[in-house]
Amino acid sequence: MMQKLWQKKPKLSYNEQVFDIVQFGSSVKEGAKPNDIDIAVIFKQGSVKEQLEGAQKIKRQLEKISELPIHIKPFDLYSFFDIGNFAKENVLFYGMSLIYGDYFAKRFGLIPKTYLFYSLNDMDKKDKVRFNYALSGRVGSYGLIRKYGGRILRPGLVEVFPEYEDLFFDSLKKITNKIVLQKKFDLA
Amino acid sequence: MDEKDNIIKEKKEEKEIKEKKDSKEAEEKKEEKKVEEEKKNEEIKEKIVEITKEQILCKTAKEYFDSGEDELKKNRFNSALVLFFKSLIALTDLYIYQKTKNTPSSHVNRFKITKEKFEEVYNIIDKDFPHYQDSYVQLVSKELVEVIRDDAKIMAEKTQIKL
Repeated sequence: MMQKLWQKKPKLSYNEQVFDIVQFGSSVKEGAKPNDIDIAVIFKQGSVKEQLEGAQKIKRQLEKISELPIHIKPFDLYSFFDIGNFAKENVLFYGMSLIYGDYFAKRFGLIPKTYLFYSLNDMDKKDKVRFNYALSGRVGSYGLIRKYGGRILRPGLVEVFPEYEDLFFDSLKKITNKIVLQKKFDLA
Repeated sequence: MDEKDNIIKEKKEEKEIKEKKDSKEAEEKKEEKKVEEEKKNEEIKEKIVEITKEQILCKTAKEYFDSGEDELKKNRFNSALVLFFKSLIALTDLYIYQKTKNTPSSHVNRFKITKEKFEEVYNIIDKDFPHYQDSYVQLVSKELVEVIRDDAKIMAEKTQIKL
């Protein structure tokens, strides 16, 4: 039983019209306490009725390996990118494929990354040191980068994986308010 | 003289005893009748509640369904979906009532009852519910509305209601 179903790459039975099964929302984020698990089932094509029934079959299988309730939503590739689909940014940026065990965005040749801009100007030396320790660690303890991955691109800018962005943000925000996140995609 | 008096006295006592007995029996009969009447009233009352609940659920199911059709004709798909789903839920409650003589008190309770006792019905409402929830913030397609409408029709058949 686990929250990050995508890491398990569960063996699911589904028809050939399924393009991908994607876990998204708070359940993919490190440190979050979700109430349910959001799953998007993306179909290549097929009638809405078939998509609904197909998604329901997948839901029943996932319910057996999840402690949390499953909230499932079917799309076809056309409706997924429709302007009326408010969930698409979340699915595309944070979504993790249960079939491939990797970022869903990679199916489109994209790698999601979060940039974390910060400024240490006008800070006490003591807080600057605290910030650097939190980020890069010190003798005897790991910093956020060592623990969760990511890299310092230049002073004032850290690149982190989307699923860890809240963890970085919340930890560093305790030391400085001058910190902002920016989402971006790299070409794979 | 004494003997005559005694006989009269005895007869009087006998009469009193008989009267008392008759009166007790009458009272008992009256009580029985009262209990019977109360029972009958209770049964009638229950029947009225039964009819009223069924009638209300049936009426709301039809009303929502008709309104859904109206909205669908006007291409107002989000409104149509909400109305067809409400019709579906009224029919689900009616189905539960027909089978158990109880009606669910909430969505959670409804899902619990159907999951435990009527899996086929549970699958329908569990499949459609997220779309009803999302209809507040997402544009829905005509095709999706038609799926929900068809599910309401399936429930109407199960409950033997003509929509």
